Amino acid sequence: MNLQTRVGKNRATASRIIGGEAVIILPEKGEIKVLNAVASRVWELIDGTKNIREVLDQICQEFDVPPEQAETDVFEFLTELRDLQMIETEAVNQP
Amino acid sequence: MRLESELIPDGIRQTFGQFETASAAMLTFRIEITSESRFLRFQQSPNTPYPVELKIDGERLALCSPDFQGTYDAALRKGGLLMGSQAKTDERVYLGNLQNYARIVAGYELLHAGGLMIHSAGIVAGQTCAALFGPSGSGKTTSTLLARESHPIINDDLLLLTLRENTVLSHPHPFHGADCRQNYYGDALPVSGFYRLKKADHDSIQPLTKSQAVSSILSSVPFFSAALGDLVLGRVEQLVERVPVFELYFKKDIGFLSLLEAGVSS
Repeated sequence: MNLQTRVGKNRATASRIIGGEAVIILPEKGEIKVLNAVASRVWELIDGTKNIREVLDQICQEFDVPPEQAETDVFEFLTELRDLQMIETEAVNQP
Repeated sequence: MRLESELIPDGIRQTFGQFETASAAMLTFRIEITSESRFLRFQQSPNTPYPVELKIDGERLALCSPDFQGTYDAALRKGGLLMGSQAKTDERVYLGNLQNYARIVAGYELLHAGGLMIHSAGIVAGQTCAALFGPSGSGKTTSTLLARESHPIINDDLLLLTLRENTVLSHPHPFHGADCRQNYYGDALPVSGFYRLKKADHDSIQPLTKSQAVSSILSSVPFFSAALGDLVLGRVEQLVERVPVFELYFKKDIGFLSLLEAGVSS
């Protein structure tokens, strides 16, 4: 994954934002995750149309977080979601 | 519910008889016993619940477990259940197969009818149902054993819930094993609270946030399937909008019952 990678939710997941926190289920694995506010916003933003750079820009606009910190945290979070097969990634070649 | 064959074992009549009515059947199951001894073959770890493989294709369900295979067509509301040879000689196996099959079909139909089935004990407290849930070993059976001296039990393992505008109703049902401590067969009762059980050295309750409530109840919904994930999640969300959800810390005595009764009166 890099900043150009486009990220979307695995279609097998189901999720809702409840009380500001994302509750996500991956029925095939029986996994249920509850995310904190920032992670929930990332989850909302990964809709299959945005790349990671666009997600990061939005997070930095909405939350008081230094860009370097946001980048580290978002990559860590997306790696975890990818390992759990909760997201799908699409590499996009730079022009 | 109607039991139409004279060949139905006594244990089945005992379990389902309370629910027998003269009205036409909503769902029809045909049961056969084959000479095959086992169906689904895989290693079962001691901590996993009884394995049932469920596949959903449109409105058709296919089920497979070590002891039976089943199909169900929701459009026709008809299903077939094929049991292994052990069911011929062991009534408990026959009952277990029928229960496992019927509760999955009932859970599927209930979900599509606007309700939900959850792994939870139901204790009658002040004309309401207190729903006690949690993973295996959290104390559902212990709590019903303690409560049954003074409180009727709707079920010690599984609740069938329907949603009304502002309430959730818990319905008595026959989908349980021969050892179930059910002794309430009256009308459906409103659920006063969902209580996630935690064994402790004291009795107390703590409210859960909405997201904690949804995720903890989701963990108690049986027969998850990718095809039903969104429907189940939406239904659980509706459930926690209508009924408060708590963490119930309890020690192995009847003290927790006064907390349930306090929940009813508040």
